[in-house]
Amino acid sequence: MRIKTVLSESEIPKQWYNLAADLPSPLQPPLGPDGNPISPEMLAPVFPMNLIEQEVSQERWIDIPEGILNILYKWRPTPLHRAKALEDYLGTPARIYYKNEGVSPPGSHKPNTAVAQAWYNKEFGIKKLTTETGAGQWGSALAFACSIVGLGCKVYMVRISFDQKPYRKTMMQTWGANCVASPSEETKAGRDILEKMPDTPGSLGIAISEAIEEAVSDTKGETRYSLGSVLNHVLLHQTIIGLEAKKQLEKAGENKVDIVIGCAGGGSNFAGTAFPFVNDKIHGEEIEIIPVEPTSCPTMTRAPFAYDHGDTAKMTPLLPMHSLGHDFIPPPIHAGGLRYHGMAPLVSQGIVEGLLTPRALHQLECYEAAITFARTEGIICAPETSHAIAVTIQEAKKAKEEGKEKVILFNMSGHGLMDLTGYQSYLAGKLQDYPLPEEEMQKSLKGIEGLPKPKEAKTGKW
Amino acid sequence: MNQYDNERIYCRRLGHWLTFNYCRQENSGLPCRKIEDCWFEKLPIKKFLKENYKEEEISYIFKVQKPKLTSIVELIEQAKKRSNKTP
Ligand SMILES: Cc1ncc(COP(=O)(O)O)c(C=O)c1O
Repeated sequence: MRIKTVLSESEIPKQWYNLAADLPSPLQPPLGPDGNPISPEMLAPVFPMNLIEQEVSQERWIDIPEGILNILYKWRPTPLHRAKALEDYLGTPARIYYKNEGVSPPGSHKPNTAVAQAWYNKEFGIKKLTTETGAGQWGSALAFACSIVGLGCKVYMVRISFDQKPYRKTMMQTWGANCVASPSEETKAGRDILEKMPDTPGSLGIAISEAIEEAVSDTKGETRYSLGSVLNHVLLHQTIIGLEAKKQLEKAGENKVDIVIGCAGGGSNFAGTAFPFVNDKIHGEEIEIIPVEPTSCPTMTRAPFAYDHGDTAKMTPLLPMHSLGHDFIPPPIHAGGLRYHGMAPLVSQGIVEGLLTPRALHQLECYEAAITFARTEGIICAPETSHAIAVTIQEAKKAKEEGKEKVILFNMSGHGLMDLTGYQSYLAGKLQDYPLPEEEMQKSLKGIEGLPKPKEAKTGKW
Repeated sequence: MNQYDNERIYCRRLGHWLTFNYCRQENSGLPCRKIEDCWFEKLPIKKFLKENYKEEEISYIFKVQKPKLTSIVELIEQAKKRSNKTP
């Protein structure tokens, strides 16, 4: 039995896949603050033109430059594992496969885009990249990429994270990045906040302002800004995961996948794994494609509570859908991509179309799954990744009940060796779930009765 | 106001564990815009907000979020203004 299916370097995909070319209902163009479509020039102070072109591209396939491939070879193609030990433990007839993105030097999928972004910036003549980070998953990936490509890197790390996550900060510094706590004295945005609130623990909002200000105010025009998720070009760079997986599944003797699963924060590792399979689904294959998130703070499975509040309600149809069960999909709130704030618009549109079926899980089930995975497959996964594993286990158990030999693929987006706090609490019995009481749910449902249903920009095929 | 300060949660935006104390001050001293989404299962968060913040503050916290690219364009404009003012 083959446990690992590997590709040689010569077999690595040479193009990225762009779902925007195949989406049956096209994305609305992003609008600027004045309500007019955003032009490439408006983004030029923070992104190089070659990446802006990718952001708006409708080309189906985009060549991966040789220079980028040469760096990706340091850890790519990543192995496709058959989770045989997990299958045996569950006693499932399903065949479970996972891509191991934890083998990259920073330990997650994030360098797939960090390397590409650093490389395109260098090509464009840029000398330094800035970014913001919380715990440092993205900051460390960009620090690694800049170090390999030969760019300066400045990371504004939210003060509370800077104080609580010293090891990721050290990783960034080891790769030569300048990692400062935000708010900092280095930007006007940071100084203004510090003057008013010297002890502030910071926020992502402030850190982004600082990173963008540093790029915009470089009078030589040699600094740009970089983002680790949500945007189209980021998702595009991640599709190498799914494209490799397709080749590997074929090598492993599988000619059909039934279920594809990925955890979704901003949507990048999920999209990277799933989009090549979404293409198959658009062209008639029957595949269930599941982005997964926690019930706490969801962006896909429930409309945000913000829609309960005054101002917002006047601007968008009010849809306070509170925790309606894991397979409930709320109708779209806003045609222009506002529906799932913080989620990649391409993923949002895939949900609206019915091509993707998001699911939300409680944290206890996710940690249980992570522990099972560690004790069978041996890998201690990142907290985000545990959501994908938990749904994989749900689906494998379902296949057992149905007696079906399903093929399941999920993305192991990263290892969790730098994020053991959750495991510590779980093992100490300190984690709890708080299912929303039934009456609360009914109250929420009552609240939306009779409200107008917004128009859906979708074909209705799925 | 500080009765829940030591309650812990995994923050999806920052990617690590923190306490409620941070969530209620994240937005320049006001609560994070995700505070209800994250805490609705664990605390009477609606009541907490109603008791401790004015209506204008609540409207400000939960003002409509713009798509990512739109907010980046706005931040570019703000940064340009700030750099022009700096001597
Ligand atoms: C290991 C890992 N998986 C998943 C995510 C979620 O991000 P995305 O949805 O963009 O893949 C993160 C974010 O930090 C991460 O570190």
